Amino acid sequence: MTRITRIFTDPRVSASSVKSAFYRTVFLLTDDQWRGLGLKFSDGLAQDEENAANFSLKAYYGANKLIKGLDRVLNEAREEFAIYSARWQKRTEGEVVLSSEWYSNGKATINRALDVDEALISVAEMANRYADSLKEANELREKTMGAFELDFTQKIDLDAFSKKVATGTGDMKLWLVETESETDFRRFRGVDLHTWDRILMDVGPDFAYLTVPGKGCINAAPRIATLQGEDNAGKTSIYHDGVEVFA
Amino acid sequence: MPEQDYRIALWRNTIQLFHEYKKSNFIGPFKASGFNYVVDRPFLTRQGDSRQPDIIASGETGWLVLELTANQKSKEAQLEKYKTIDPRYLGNYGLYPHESPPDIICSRFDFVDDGSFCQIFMKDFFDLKNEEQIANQHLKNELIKAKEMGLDLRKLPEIPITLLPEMNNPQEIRRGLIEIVMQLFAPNSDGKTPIQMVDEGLERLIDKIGVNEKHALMDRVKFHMEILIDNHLSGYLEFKDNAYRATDKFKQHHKTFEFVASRLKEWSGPSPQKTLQDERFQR
Repeated sequence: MTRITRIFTDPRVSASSVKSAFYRTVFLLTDDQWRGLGLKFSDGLAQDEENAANFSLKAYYGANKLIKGLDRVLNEAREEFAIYSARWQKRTEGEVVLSSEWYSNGKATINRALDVDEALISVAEMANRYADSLKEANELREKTMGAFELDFTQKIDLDAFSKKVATGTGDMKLWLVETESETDFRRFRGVDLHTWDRILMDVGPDFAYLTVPGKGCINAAPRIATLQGEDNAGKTSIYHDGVEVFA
Repeated sequence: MPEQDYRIALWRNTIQLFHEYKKSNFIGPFKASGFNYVVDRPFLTRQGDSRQPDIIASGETGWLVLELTANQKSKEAQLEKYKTIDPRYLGNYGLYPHESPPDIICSRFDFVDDGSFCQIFMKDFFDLKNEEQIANQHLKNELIKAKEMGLDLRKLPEIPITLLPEMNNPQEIRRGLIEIVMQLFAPNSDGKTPIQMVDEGLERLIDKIGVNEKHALMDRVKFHMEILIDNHLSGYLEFKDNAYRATDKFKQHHKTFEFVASRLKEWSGPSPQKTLQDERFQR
């Protein structure tokens, strides 16, 4: 897993435009007028340098002192805009037949594919895996009364969370009422506005417990985990009874 | 933290003893003992008498009958009756089979004399009494370990059941209804009858509750919904044709969401509440 900065690359950007971004950044770095920092991603899945992806440059940072206020914007961007991605390669007889990158916001980029069918099957396979994970989580919910546990690597602002969910706004699409409040722990009850299913959430500074009564959709768990991971530029894992789910 | 006669908290804290949470490093003693559990399932004694304890759990090392109660009277006589439950029915519920008699534990908030039966206390920190009565050594060790470390029960997750029979605490009933009420504001909602609201709150206990108990709970729900409609969400909710519904005054707007949420919080909050002995309820 690797984190990239969305302000510079978007999964919808085609391979060719990423490539041009690479050249442009190199130019900026070699110009005396523009001092900055270029970041080059090492292709962790590549067997050797020759087979590494050609567009490994995913972000750049530079010349922030020349444009007034740019350093502040860049710092804020680094904090606010981050998504996770995982890179996949499929190799057949030593040849890369499919190279793709999957982003936490649900989008995917197929960087290289020898065959269109291969690309479509890859996308379908990922959708099936997600459906299987949801089914598995649903079975856990029906079999026991344990909650889903979301572990955040970064702390969250409980007061801000409480205010946000009371209005039902934000990407999380939760409308919740706070029912118990302590400095480091809050209990909430409400609905998932995607489905209007009931939802119970108990939230600490770096974790949340999620309980979905009745036949409600468990989809809220991976959605909150993904959004929280993005918003706080951190990683979120989901557990049930100490075992990672939606891994 | 939990107020007196807070049955949901008693159930929540007891149920979570069968679970594990990583961030808080919480491993319940029943989870550590390898127990799986079922809630409110019918069993028979070897004489054919019916028994339905709150929880039955089983693992490789033994099996267990758990009674949860907020009642201030002794449960000794009832616990005694559980001794003769026939373990052959464990397999019917996918639980590990045994031939020996069960360990019996009563789960409470505060001490009430239940004779010599083992008791666990679920208020804030785990506590234990009469542990010498537990035959399963592995379970006994885990319970003692939880007691000695003062297992913290204050921040455990909620359970999907939000209403329980014999609930009497006004705050608890209102909190148990919050998200069920919020669903009434869903676009194209048909509204909900009082019995539907009770069934949703009971969740997986829905078909395990007697008619009289359910009816009594429905009366309490109606009482508290009337207060909500009259005093807190007047104009936004109505009771019409035996169903609670949102009115046209409700708009899908963040300001309205915020207003309704604040009123629900006020209704279910910790301020002094009217009780079922109120004049209105006696009518």
